[in-house]
Amino acid sequence: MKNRMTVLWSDGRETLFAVDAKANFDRDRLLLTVNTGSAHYGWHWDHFAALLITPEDSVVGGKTCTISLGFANGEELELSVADFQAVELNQAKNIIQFKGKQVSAIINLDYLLNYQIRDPASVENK
Amino acid sequence: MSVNKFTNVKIYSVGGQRHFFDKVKDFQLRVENSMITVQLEDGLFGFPLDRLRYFELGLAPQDLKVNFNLGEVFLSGADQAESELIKISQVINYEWKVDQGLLMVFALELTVGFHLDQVVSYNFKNGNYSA
Repeated sequence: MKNRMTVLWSDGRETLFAVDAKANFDRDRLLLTVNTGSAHYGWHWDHFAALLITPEDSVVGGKTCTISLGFANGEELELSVADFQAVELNQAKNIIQFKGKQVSAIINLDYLLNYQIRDPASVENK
Repeated sequence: MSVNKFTNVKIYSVGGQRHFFDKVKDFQLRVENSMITVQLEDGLFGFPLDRLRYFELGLAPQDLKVNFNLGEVFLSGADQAESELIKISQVINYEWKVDQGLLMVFALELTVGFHLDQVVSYNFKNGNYSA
């Protein structure tokens, strides 16, 4: 399964990376870096909204987590994590990670509006 | 930080002011004083670091290895400034110096220092890379 990585800027811009990119979250240095073999990318901590790791093929099913982001310019964006498994808050780094079976979304808390988890199974059981 | 062998100095301030200097005798960036000073033959200029967007030091060409053909630094549009993209070619290296509040970019004929509060993102690439 091939993955791709996307960085969402604080103004809603996107930068897409191929599979071999490596990301590092360094809150102490106020720096998110993404390095590929021959290029170095960096975002000031105040200016990245999210980093998404998504499979190239779309996935469906299971619980779904919908994440609402609000960018610096007031625009909003909804992300969806299929096959949702867990959410982990890292207060020290001011980030929150949403984990699906194949999808992972790491969000800068400054740009998170809210998130909502839907579980189709719980509806069917009622 | 004190850099000698440079040919000219350009200071770009928050708010859009630009100051270009030739015949510079000395350039000093003192983080502890939050001040940049430019010593000219007939006087001295001082710039508060808090108002710095970035500075450029023109250098005589150096015999050093180029690691990145192209560097790009995106600056924010805060403080009434337009957001802008600064391109720097023939980059030897760069340093994200959070303790000094500066992103330093060292190129063959140029050293550039960006105030971190102004920096949105950067990328440094070799020529054969395509994202």
